[in-house]
Amino acid sequence: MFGYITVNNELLDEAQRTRYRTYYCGLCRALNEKYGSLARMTLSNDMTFLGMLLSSLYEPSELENAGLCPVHPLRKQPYLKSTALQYAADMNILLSWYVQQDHLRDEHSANAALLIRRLRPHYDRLVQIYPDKCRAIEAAMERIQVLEAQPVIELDKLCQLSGKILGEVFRWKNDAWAEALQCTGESLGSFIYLVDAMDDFERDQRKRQFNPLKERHAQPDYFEGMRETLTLIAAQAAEAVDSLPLMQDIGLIRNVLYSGIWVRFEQLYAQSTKKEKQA
Amino acid sequence: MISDPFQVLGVSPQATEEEIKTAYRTLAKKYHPDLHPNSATAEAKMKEINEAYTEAMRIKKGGGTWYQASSSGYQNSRYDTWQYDYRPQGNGHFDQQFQAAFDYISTRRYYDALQVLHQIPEQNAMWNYLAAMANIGLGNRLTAVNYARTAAQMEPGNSQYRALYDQLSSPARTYQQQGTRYGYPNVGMCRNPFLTCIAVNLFCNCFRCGRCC
Repeated sequence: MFGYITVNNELLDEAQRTRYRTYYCGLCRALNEKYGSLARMTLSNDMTFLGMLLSSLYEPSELENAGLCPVHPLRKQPYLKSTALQYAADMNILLSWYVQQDHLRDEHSANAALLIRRLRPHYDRLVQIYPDKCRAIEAAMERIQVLEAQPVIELDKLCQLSGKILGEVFRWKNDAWAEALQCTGESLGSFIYLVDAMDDFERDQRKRQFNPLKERHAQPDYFEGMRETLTLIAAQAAEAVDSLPLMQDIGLIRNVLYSGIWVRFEQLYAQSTKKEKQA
Repeated sequence: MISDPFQVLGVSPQATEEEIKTAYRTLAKKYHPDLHPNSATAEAKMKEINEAYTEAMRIKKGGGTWYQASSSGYQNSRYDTWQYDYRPQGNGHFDQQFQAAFDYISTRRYYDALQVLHQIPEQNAMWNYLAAMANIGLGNRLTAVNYARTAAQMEPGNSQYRALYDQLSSPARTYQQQGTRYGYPNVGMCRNPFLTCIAVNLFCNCFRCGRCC
């Protein structure tokens, strides 16, 4: 999992930080309950955000509780329980499955092979529950593979297809909010795709693997260009979220959309300017 | 079909978006499916207020729905307005290949336009401008903005290049303005490199301990 859709902790007050953790711990517990303790390893900030967003939109009844867990064996951690987090847990498993498939194909990683073996029964069940989502995601992934094998890099198409995956994940019910949620997911999915490509750029170069930013990276103002591209995508996500009737946790949601998602980008930017100075 | 969305929500047509959201939430709490399991009336009511909310927000945003612009690329009406005057003006340097690319763009043969452009070795401002136009036609918004920016940078005096770039990047500017209220940009935009460095360090440390929840 990527984990790029996260909060910027620095800008949160204590109450917000605690609130975010109750979602994070809630998702972790939902994973444990539904899929066993190994599933906890797949816990992601991305799906924590989804759980929080859906909770804010649908306001399902929330059960707040506190308890000990293997990571926090001494101090009870508060956590939330709700149908939104249950759904986020399903999506967390589904996404992990696809991400591990990707790892297995690209890197022949033994770790991925192991995880896939453990996730398979869950995946088989999830396909039954969400057949349309799975079909759409798999179709997008196949298209991405085809495009990545082409000599010309079609960055927009790659972004759109990667976005599709998260768009499916974000659309929970087929109701009045489906379209806005899907658009939010699509934009955030494109955003993740690009930041992940930036993150992996040097490694991909070294290993001579495909990276969608090969052409972009050669341009003189690479970071400025990427900042602008990412801002346009983030703007779309923010606009879609703004169209929804959200009140609960809106501060946290905006923290993610305007600041949290930039955390990794800013780190990469800082690293590159540091390197430039040394050179 | 609903009669008046504002009436359904119980707000005046002059209500702000925040007020509409508050009104929606109050009603949504009242008819929440958790409180009325299997009630057809509550379900219908919920559907009605959902529709009213969507319609009220649509009106507030000035007509068109927000997703038209984002999902169907740049071929919709919002961006058609400048298509009539996109013929490059200026200093006469408009050779045959540019003319061909331009003709393809005006007849909506965007792939052909890009083919022609890729045969031109020198990628000057005009080249970037035309590449931006062709990519807009193909729905490649991200690529288009990038070319438009390069065109505007290469020829800062050209108002036409500037206008295209401004138009394409305007959603990003709105986001940045909005974002300053919620922490955008978080770090790295500091004028003083030394301060930036400290900020980044502080920030990275915080981030790390935040992650191990």
